[in-house]
Amino acid sequence: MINEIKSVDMPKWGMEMSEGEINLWHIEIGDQVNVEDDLVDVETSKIVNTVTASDSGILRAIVAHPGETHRVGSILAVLASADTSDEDIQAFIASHKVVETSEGATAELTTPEATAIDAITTASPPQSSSSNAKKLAEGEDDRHVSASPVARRLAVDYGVNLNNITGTGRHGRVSKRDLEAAVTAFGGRLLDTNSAAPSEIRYGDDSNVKATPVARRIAEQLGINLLECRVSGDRGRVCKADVEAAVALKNRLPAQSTGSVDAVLAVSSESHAISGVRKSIAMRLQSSKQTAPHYRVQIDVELDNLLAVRKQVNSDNSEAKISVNDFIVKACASALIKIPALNVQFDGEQITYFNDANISVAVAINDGLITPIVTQANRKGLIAISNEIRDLATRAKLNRLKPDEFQGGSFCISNLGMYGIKQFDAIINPPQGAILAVGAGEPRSVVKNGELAIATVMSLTLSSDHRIIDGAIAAQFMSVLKGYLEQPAPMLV
Amino acid sequence: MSTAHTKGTKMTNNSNIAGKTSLKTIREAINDALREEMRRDPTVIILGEEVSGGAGCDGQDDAYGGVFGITKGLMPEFGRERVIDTPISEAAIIGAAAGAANNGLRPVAELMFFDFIGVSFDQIFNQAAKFRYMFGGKSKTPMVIRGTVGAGWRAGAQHSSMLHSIVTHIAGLKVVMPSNAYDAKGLMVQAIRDDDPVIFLEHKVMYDNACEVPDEQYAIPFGEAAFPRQGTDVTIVAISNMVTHAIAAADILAKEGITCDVIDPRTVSPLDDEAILESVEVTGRLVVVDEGNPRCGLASDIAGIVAEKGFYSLRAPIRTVTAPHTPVPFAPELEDAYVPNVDKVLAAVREVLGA
Repeated sequence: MINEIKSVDMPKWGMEMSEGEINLWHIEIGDQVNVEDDLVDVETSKIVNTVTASDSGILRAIVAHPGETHRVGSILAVLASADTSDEDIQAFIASHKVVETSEGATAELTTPEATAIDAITTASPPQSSSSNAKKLAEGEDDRHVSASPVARRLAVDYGVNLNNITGTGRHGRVSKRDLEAAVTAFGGRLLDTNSAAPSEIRYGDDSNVKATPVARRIAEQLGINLLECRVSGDRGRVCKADVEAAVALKNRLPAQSTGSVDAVLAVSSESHAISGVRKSIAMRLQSSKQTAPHYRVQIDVELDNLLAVRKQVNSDNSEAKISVNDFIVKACASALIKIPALNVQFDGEQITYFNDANISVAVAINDGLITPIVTQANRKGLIAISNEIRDLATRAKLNRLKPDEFQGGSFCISNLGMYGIKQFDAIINPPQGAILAVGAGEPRSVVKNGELAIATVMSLTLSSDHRIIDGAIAAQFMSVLKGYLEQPAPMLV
Repeated sequence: MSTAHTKGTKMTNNSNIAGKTSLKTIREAINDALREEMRRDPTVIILGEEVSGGAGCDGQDDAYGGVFGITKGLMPEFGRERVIDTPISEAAIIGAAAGAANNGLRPVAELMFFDFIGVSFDQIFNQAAKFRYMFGGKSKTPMVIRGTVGAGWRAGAQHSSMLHSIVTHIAGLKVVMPSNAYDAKGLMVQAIRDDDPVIFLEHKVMYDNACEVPDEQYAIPFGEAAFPRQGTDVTIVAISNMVTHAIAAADILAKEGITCDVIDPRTVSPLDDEAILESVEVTGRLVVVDEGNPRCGLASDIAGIVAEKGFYSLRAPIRTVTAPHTPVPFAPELEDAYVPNVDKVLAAVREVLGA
């Protein structure tokens, strides 16, 4: 034990642990440590655990301090007897660190794959390296250089002249690994070979290639270089079938600009984490589509009567600015009271029926959409509904709705008519049972009493959850709704 | 390759061919290699059963040049001292060759049908393959053992096997399996010049396959694959006569817009695993075609290497196309069904492509 210096190293807890962060030392320098004593808390990506002593001695030095991250196997502290000199302790620590770094360096040298992967996944913008790229691209004809076919193809992709690459493969052959090492060394980024499209290869003079006269003629017509054709004709000649195979192959290759290291570097895109609102929309709508079997019924509604009533109401009352959408909300409320099977919520097991129509209205906001609720719309007049919707929509856009103003609701309306959308299908807003998609009102030709006429027509599409609402119910609802919209008087009373 | 040769240079496989070429069969290419090496190096000798023909019978000299005609014309040029007809004893042929190699000659021993390796196997794997190792490098054994392999000749179970996996398994042997005349010549030259025992396996149905072969002598280094077709959708590794089927399959698929990286390792020991792994890194899909039996065979060996070293590149399970695990049948219909063919290769490729 005397004069023996022991290190406390970062342990490896589990296959995936590569490093740990120091949280808290339980002991101080100078403390006596016995085997199994708690030494230090270390946090990994998965757990916080305590490193215990595997040797005894006096804690002489702490190398890793709280907040620092250290690799598995690196030295955290030094245990030694009291009479060991400080110089020896420092020398021990120094020697340990040298071993660590040299091990690291060897690891890098022996695993070029690791660096290649890093290079692929690094998202940071690459340094400008056009001069480096040029250095790799320059040189004489490299056809005589011994290279594997994969390396030769990639060299074309990267715009690299093989004369500049030192081959370390079979008998000095340039391998894919050699090429990629050179590209990374010169600051370039690696292509994902698994998805990279095959490159176009530049071919030279083909006049010396043996070919049948027919093959040579059609190759010329089709712009095929005979060097890119396989040779399957008799007496070692390129035959007609070979040229046709080359054409088939070419048609399949996407046109690709001749690559260079610079071109490879220029790829750019942006990634953002999604917002909480977006996340919640994504989750709810995905769950709706997965759990609720949607079906749609569609109906066309003539609006001319409604528009006349609207004009009259708005001109009679200077306070009122009633929109077609307000009429639709009112009409839906009345129809829901008539067809209560649609005025429901469903949680997968229980259906809840409502006595009033609480109608959600979809409002587009900055980062998504929200559905504020017109409560008891069946009991409210058009002007009240209109004012309420305007208020809700304004506050929704300012992000000032209270939770009970957009949670709940027994039916939903989504209107994209203002964008000129003729017709669309909406996704049910769970736990509701149905949603109405409203298109634009527009003049259309209609047949009345066997004659062509023009009417303002709007297409409505109802998406319903077939688990609780059958087609006939949806159809009845749509037909009642059409009635209210085409003859608005009854719902206004 | 000097720049003077650049003009008129053609790419065959991955090798630059310069100078004058002629259309040659594999049979002629191997004969060329043997003759040129015997002219160049007086220590090169040939021995085997019937390699010149007519030994002891007047008027029958060089009647056949071996039962496959590979050594035709060599005895008249180099004499019976260097082209030796042996008794019918494979143990004697290989034993004599191993001893001669140890003592300064470069014998090329012919086993006729490689199926006969059994009776000489101790001479090969316990003696020749281990001399250099057991004598601490003080001894070398520069011998070539030629033999024919493969089915398709209606030759029955004892004359049609693919036994390359057995010799590939043995450390100390190099195993060469050319798929065309160009490779056959270059690889034979390298085999003769190599200082270790080399097993040179010729597929008997390929002897008459011809391609352009340079007139000059050239050596193809061992352990470097050839790439007869290049593509990015699927890697097909094939050896010996299976390369023919792999290329045919690749050409059919090319018309459908599917490109295959066909790799012909040319030597299965040493094996160019680097080229195979590199290709699979790009294609993510591997089909190995081998005429041998499936268990402990070359196909499962290559599949194993890729599964171990290239697993994360794979996007589909590896498929091997081999003969079934039975002896080669004698009935012609069964023999045809036994050997992997283009259709089987196509089916395997479509399977790994998920088609």
